[in-house]
Amino acid sequence: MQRYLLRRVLQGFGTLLVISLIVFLLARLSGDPLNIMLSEEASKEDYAVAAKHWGLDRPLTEQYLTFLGNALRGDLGQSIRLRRPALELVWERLPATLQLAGAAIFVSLVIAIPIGVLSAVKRDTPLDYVGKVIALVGQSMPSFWLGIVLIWIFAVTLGWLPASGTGSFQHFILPAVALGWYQVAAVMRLVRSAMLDVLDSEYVKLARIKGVAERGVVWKHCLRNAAIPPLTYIGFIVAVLLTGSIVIETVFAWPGIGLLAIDAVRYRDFPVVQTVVLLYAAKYVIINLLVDVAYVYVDPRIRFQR
Amino acid sequence: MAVAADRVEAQAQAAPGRRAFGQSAPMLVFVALILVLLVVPAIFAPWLAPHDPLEGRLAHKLKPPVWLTGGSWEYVLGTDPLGRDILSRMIYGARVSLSVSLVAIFIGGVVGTVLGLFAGYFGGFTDSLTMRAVDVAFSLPTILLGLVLAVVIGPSFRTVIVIVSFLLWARYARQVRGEVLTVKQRDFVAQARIAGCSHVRIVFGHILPNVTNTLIVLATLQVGYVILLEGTLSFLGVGIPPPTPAWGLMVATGRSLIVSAWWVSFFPGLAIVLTVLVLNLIGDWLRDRLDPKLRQL
Repeated sequence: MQRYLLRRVLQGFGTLLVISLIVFLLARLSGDPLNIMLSEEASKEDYAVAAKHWGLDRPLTEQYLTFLGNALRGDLGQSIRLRRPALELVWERLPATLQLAGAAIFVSLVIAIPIGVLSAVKRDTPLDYVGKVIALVGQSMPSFWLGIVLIWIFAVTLGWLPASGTGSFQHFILPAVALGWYQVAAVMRLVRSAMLDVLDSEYVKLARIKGVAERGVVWKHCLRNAAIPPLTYIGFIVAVLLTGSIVIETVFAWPGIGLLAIDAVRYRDFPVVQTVVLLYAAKYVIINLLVDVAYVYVDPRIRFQR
Repeated sequence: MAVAADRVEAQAQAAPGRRAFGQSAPMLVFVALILVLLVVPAIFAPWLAPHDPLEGRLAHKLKPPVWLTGGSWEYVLGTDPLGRDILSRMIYGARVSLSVSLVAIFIGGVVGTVLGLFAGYFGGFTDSLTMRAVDVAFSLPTILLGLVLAVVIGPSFRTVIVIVSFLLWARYARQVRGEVLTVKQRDFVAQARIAGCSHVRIVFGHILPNVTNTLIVLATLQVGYVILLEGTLSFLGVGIPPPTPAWGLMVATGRSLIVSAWWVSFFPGLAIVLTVLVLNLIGDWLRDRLDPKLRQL
């Protein structure tokens, strides 16, 4: 089992290494960063000096190895536009993005769990179909459009909530709903299928025989057990949400990593883009690894593979 | 990220007693209706669109839809800030969205399928190499990579196709490879080998036909996803460049006008919702018909 885990860790590192190479090459392919850094009147000498300063006059392989070495020491370069360490910039924006993702998860659970439970209990009734429609429509809505429509209804027409920015609790509601809605469908289906399994089980029968009220059976005995599969996927959901937040942050002018990344791409501020891509990839690899480790402990079949 | 969705779906779809939602009569009528409303205008756009999608008249800018005061039958769904007819642009936009997704899915599908077939059939080094590439493709943040690629190669119709197919191939590769692993154990593969078939012939002639159902279902389910992706890229300004009518781009145009002219954003977005909804319904239905074991897709 240690060998299995070790292999997975090494694979994770390998993946990140390849991604760092891709990211590095993409940054170089996009044109000379000096064209953006220097003013239009810059002379050839200015270019040469700047190239030397940023190490851009070196061979590509050497540049990549330097980049990699620095990255391993936590130095992902300076933002060309803002002249500050890229990692620091990303770090500053991280809390806003995480808060939004957290709020979105909360929203999706609050909407999805009751619908999932009810459609399992009232299986094949109109209620179940309504749940399915909500799920299907949710998965078909582009989040940017949902965001705009929410702004139109709740900020412009009704004037209940702020349309953009941060600050108060109210600022969270619209972006969290727009971001979390897509997950509602997935979580709802998970809860529904888990509930259907649990509702058939022996201990639920026992609880009924004992005379526990139906409401207690469903919401206490069943839901507690049915909540396990959706909880297992929270890690994945976080990953999906963080990527999705790039769009939602644009719609709601939310000062998180997504907005930073989009600005960085527009200004060709590649150290920042590299940092964000690497960070997201690392997050994905780590989440996958953690889930695999968890599976190893849960499922003996994996443990005893060679 | 896509793995996440897969595993979530796998659980969700494994629901016992799950009845295909698209099979009830009213749903089928709905699906057929939207499909007709989508495909017919996309094909016959030049004859059906009431106005030129690119030419606007500034005198008629930001006209509301017909049922609001100030609206007229000339511009049924209103006009955008350049005085272009929104309905006509939506009709041409259907063309753009559908052609982008079909071409990208075809390219991504072919590349992914071939890689998956070889990885699964030959195993060993080919397999590890392909699967590590799949890992890399899955761990790259989709939208961000699209943004970077669009900046690197410059936004155009071709760029969008390159980006989207690049994001799609890995799913096919993984799915096909998994199926090949089981198919290649079956007797007919060994028999074909004994009969003297070459590896290439076995892969394409004997194994590929056994994974076609999977491919059809996967491709159908992906059309909706790709339309969302294309819409998102266009919305962020790195998809189809203006003035070509693309739904995502139209939503982006109306974003700053949501206070005064909601229809500019609303209708193109609604077109995306209905299209993706119908495609998902068809995908679900096909999955149940062709290949129930694909519930884990």
